Amino acid sequence: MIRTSTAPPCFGRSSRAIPAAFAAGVVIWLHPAPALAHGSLAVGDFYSGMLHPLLHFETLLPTLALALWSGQLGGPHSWRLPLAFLGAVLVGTVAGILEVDLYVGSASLRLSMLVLGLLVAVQGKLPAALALTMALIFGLFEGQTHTYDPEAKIERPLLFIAGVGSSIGLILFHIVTRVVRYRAFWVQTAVRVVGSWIAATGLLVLALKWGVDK
Amino acid sequence: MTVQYSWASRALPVLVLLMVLPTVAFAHTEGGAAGAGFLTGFLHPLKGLDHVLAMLAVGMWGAQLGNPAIWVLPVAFPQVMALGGVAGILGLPLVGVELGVTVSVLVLGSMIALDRRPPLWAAFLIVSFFAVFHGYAHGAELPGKTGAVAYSAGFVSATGLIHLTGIGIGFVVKLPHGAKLLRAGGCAIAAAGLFLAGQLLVR
Repeated sequence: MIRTSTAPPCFGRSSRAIPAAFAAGVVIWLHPAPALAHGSLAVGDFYSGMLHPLLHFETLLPTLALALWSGQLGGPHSWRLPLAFLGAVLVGTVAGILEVDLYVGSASLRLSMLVLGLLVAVQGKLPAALALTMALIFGLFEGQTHTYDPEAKIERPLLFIAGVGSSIGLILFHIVTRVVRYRAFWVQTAVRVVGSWIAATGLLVLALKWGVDK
Repeated sequence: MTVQYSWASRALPVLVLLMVLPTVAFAHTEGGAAGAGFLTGFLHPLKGLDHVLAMLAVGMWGAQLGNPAIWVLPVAFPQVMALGGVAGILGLPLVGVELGVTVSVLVLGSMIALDRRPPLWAAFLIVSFFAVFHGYAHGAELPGKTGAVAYSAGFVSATGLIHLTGIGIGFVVKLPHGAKLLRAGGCAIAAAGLFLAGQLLVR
């Protein structure tokens, strides 16, 4: 059947890209609202768990970098690494709630930003076992960090854990599927640029951690 | 029938989003909320004329040099600048930071104006040399307290976006007489760099 649509070029072949861009726009537009709501408003444990990975750059950036990297690698990596990471985040969160201290400082999260960001920037390939181990270790770091917020009074831990898991899972799923699907040169370049930004941020904040006291 | 749509028509929605983004940022600076660190960091590189002009010039030069510089520079540049930033944070001695920043505007503008096309490694070396000064100047000003990650993320992404804007401007080379237009733009940046350097020396 011949398409007789007279829609402008934007709505032709790239029809999937438009809703994605629109969704991204809505998220950016709404971002200040949850940020403000986070201070005093009690939103329940599920939502506070869900918001936690999104509102803290310390945890958002490593998640984003891992998702971009898994998508770049493609193949079995594109589901193994995110699943391993998600599982490790959940284990780390549970450990944190049970007050098992894994001695995770903020430096280790910043290191994961730098390492994962650099891997994205250079489209680095590692042996499968090493990649999986890294995803597990960085996931544990991140999971534990979710329970560090002193203001968060977690009354129903299961809901909080479910919130963290669904939020991380959604980020990973959306980013990975898009990076796997869109193989256009400029998309892959954009992915590398974002990885480079994450690595640069990681490098700067690592130096701040170990630098002179300010 | 298949029609090939240009990358421009696909990039348009993204461009519109980026244009809308700063208004959100400006509206939010007064609130002391979690997002504030990111937005202060994001706004910081936009405030210094020398920094903005140099980043624009890097992007424009990349576009003028074409493939592969056009995509290698945006990927590699943040790392070099972050290394300069680390030097600034650690307080390593580096002489003539302010002068280095203004001279970078002059030199990079001149490169575009004169349509210089050195090999990739040489172009990267020139850009890296100045990137260290820029990173150092900003690294010394980074807040080490709470919200450091948000601030740095904002700072890095804003710098990167100015760079990408420069590449976007550089796409005028695709137009008829665009190459001349781009060189004229380089001229303007070089003139601004000369002015800034003179101002620094007179002061």
